[in-house]
Amino acid sequence: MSRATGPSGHVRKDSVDLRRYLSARMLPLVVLLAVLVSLSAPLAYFVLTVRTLRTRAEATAVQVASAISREIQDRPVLWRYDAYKLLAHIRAFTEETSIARIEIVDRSGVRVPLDDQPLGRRTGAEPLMWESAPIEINEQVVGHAWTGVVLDEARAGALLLLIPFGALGLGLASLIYFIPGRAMARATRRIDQSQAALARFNQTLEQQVAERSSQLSAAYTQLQAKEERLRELSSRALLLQEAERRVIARELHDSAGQALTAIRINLQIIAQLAEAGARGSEKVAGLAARTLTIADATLEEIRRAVSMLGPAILDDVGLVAAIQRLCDDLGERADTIIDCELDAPPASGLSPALESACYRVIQEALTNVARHARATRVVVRLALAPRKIHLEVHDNGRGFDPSPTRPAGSVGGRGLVGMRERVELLGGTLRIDSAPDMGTHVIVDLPQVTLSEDGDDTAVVVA
Amino acid sequence: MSPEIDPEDVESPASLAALWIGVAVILAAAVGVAGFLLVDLIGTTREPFTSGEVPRDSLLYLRSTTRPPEVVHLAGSGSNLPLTRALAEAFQATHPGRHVVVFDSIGSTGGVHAAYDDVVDFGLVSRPLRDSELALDLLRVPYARVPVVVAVNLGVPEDSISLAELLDLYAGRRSRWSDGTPIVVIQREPGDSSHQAVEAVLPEFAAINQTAYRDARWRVVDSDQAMQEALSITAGAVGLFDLGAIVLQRLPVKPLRIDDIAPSEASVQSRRYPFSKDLALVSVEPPVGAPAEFLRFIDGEQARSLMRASGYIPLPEDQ
Ligand SMILES: Nc1ncnc2c1ncn2[C@@H]1O[C@H](COP(=O)(O)OP(=O)(O)OP(=O)(O)O)[C@@H](O)[C@H]1O
Ligand SMILES: [Mg+2]
Repeated sequence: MSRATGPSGHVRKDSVDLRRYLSARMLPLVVLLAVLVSLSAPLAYFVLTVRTLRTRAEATAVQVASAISREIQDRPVLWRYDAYKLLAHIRAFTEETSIARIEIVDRSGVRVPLDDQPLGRRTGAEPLMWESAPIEINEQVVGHAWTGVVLDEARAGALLLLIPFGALGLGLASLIYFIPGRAMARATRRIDQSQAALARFNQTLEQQVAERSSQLSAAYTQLQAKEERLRELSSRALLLQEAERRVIARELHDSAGQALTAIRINLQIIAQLAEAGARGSEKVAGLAARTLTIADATLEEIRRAVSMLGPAILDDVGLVAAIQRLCDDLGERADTIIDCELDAPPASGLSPALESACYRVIQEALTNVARHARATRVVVRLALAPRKIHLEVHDNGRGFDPSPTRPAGSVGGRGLVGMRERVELLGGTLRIDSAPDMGTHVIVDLPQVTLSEDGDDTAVVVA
Repeated sequence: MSPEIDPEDVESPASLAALWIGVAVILAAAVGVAGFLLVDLIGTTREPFTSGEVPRDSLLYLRSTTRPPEVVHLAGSGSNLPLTRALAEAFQATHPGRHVVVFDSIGSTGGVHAAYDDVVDFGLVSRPLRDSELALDLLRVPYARVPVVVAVNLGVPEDSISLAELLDLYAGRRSRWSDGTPIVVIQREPGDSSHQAVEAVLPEFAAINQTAYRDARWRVVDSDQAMQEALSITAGAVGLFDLGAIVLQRLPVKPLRIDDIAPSEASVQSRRYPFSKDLALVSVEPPVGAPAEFLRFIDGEQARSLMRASGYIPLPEDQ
């Protein structure tokens, strides 16, 4: 079918060729058929008629021979003087046959001149078919009776038959020749039409496909751009949020915290003064002590708010030290051996968003280990590659089924979900390998797209 | 679109030529076989014999029989036979030691040729010689004249007929005798002497006969023997016959008068009765010995009275 997709001219030429091919090959066969059909019946008629004539001629020859034989025995010499009458008599019985001549021939092959009178219709130059019978006398062959038959009856009949059978042959031949030819032409025309339609359809189809796919790729590019933009926006939002939190925390710590600390110190002094001073000032001391308690409580609350707003520890000691401290805390709290492999410089150089993501992820993972794992051994790994951050928290605890088919939040809390959201917002991946009694392996990869190189972000973070 | 056809094949005429050649070969073979069969069937169309002198030793074509000198051999027209046999008997009765053999009819033509070939002593001829026969330069001796009669079966009521009625009979214009019997015409073969005798007088009769032969209107017999039998036993039959043969053999047939004139020596000689023919002997050369004696005998008074008694008119005529 490869040709069908070619140029339509080529197809047309091909189909014309097929018809010509068949016609050219049909022609000899059709000629053969016409000739055979035309000739066979007349020929058969001719042969049968000739055989009939021959049989008749032979029968007549036998009749003549036996009559002559009898005559010769009756009148050995005189028979031949009126044999013409005998022959005429025999001819009267073979009237309407094609026997043109009856001749008596001596055994030497010489004709016996019987009479000048013509016997039957003597047609002269006409070629005759001869048939003979021996003339026997006392079982000795003395000569032959020959009968000559004209073939014009057979010939005329055969020629007459040639007309209808010739017409029949020609008719049959032309039917056989033209009917398949016409059918072929029709079929070819139809095939050509459908091929042209197919070619047209193919062309438009290709166009349509090209159009659609270009539309699709445009849409895809747009979508990608949008997604990129979205991620960028969300990162920036996170960044801003984080920065804001830290600012708020610092402000709270630096202003309200300092102020409250100063108030507390003042209240301590007031209390000491009141004890040492006048007895009457016992009330003042009590008040100061109560106020001190309130200030302590307030200070504690602010501290807690500050630490909730953002891991201020990061600003204080840096990522690596902060993680080390998380590990140390866990080690102190539980009977767990912690292996902390932190492959990073003390000043990580990461953006605040990345830093706090790393910190929060490890914090949550370790919290989960402490809360759920009952592990005896925990490995924490941090590796900073030039454009990539790798985090791992591995425990040998009781594990769980992390299958995502479980409805989110149905069993546990928000911890794992939050972890994943945090990582994916930054364009990274989170994997949890775990199974019951097989420990838990949390693996995080984060791209180090350093938004910190962006001037605006730096400004925000610094602020 | 038609992968099974090799495009090379479509373009190249080689396979097509092969096909044509195949068809031509089949046709040629068919024609050859048919021709062979036809030739085999028809055989030769050349004459399978030669013309010329038949060899002397032919068993078919015997030149002569042994003829002892005391035997006279006669053969020829059937019309001559009754009278000639009667004469032969009389001759033998009066000529002790002499024998006459009168063969069955071989026709006037056969008689002429047999005489010419010297197979017999005399040929018997009942019609005038044709030009080709005259050229043979034979000796011809007429010895009797016989009236040719319109003979009918004894059951036919008519006794006389006119020439016009005779023509009507043979032309088929009249189909029944006066008593209602269907008329059955018996014809002799073409060239018969009785027919010639009538045709000599009535030229229309020749044309009517020819038409009758062509249309196969009547039954045709080719000997006197057949004619006399047919006339004797067929009701309503009519045919030409010799008066002498009827009288001599006392045949049960009736000769009609023509226009009420009965055939007799007087009426024939005066030509009032129209139809007659002459019987003659032919020989190659003047006979000697027994044949000469026979010739003299039939010219004698005994033979002439025998002829007259039998309805023949002896020739030459009395002066
Ligand atoms: N390291 C671990 N070893 C064993 N089980 C764990 C571990 N980490 C998580 N899990 C299982 O997964 C569940 C979901 O943990 P997830 O941190 O989301 O919620 P939570 O810790 O129960 O509550 P929270 O919202 O306070 O974190 C847990 O309830 C616990 O059953
Ligand atoms: Mg948790």
